[in-house]
Amino acid sequence: MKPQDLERWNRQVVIPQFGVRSQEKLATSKVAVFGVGGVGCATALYLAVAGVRNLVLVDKDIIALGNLNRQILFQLSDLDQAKASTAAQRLAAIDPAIKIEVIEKHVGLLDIEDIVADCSFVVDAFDRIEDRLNINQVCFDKKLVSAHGFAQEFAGEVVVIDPGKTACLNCVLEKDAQEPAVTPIMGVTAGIVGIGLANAAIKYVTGFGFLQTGCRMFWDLGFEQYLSLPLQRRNDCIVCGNAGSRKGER
Amino acid sequence: MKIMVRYYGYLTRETNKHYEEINVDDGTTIRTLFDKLVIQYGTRIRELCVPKGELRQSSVTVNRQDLRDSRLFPEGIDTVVQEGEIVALIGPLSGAA
Repeated sequence: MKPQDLERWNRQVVIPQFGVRSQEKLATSKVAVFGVGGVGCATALYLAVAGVRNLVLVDKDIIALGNLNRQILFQLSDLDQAKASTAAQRLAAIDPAIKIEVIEKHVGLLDIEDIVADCSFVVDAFDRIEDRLNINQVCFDKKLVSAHGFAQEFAGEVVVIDPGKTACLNCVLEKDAQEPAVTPIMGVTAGIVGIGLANAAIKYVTGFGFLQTGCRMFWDLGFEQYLSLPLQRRNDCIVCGNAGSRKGER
Repeated sequence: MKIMVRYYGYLTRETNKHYEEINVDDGTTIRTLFDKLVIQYGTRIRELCVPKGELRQSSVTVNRQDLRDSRLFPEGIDTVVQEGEIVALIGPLSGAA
């Protein structure tokens, strides 16, 4: 590790049982962040400052004024600019050594397969259920551990899925639920969920501590409550259950 | 007696509330609490939390404890609520990012 990198991360390499070895693992890991909205901004920022030096940022949207209550990588002068490339510029300003791949289009199953092919960990900070399920499908097929973030109003959740060992997202999502056109959300909720996702990625790639998988890690910021609620795997799940993978139904 | 009911995710849209204090009769169970809520807010609230009458995927907690935990709640959805308890209806995973 270079002397200036040691200096940059001196506050974390001194953490017992983390050390230079974990720092080097972060530097050589590649994490895909799907969605650079309120949650994804926080995730990407904290992965970058932690020392993850290979990131993929996926988002097709442009920055709007109404994003600025929670999308902390953006500022007023960024309006109408693409989210993913703007986020990449901000992160590069923090650490020019980060290699950032930017994908600024809607991604389907095949795109996701390409994107995650050489990734160590996958973060789902997308909005739409269909997109989340595509990530879930690919991660299950490729046996990639993924973390999924949900944020709404003053409550947020992180779910980490370990394919074959835990329930998958398809087991637990309410696919028929009507998604609102606009989700009410506080910036603090997006921030906590985004940081929760980054923390899951950091723990997974370094092996530090204990990574809670197969649970809803649920924060109620309105009433200062944290819950960890186990998820049940469904035997009839078309992705991970006895019904088998739906791969091929494209 | 009074209990506190908290709503999360999709449920806040069904109720237009995050929480409320509700008067219930002695002997009220989680199942009969849903009967009461359905009268006020419609059937969707029950469908989201206890589809087909079953507790699935951590929909309900009582005083921060998962109602599916059979050691704590051997009666499950027929657990009787007590004065001052906090019942959280969390519903399915939801929310944007």
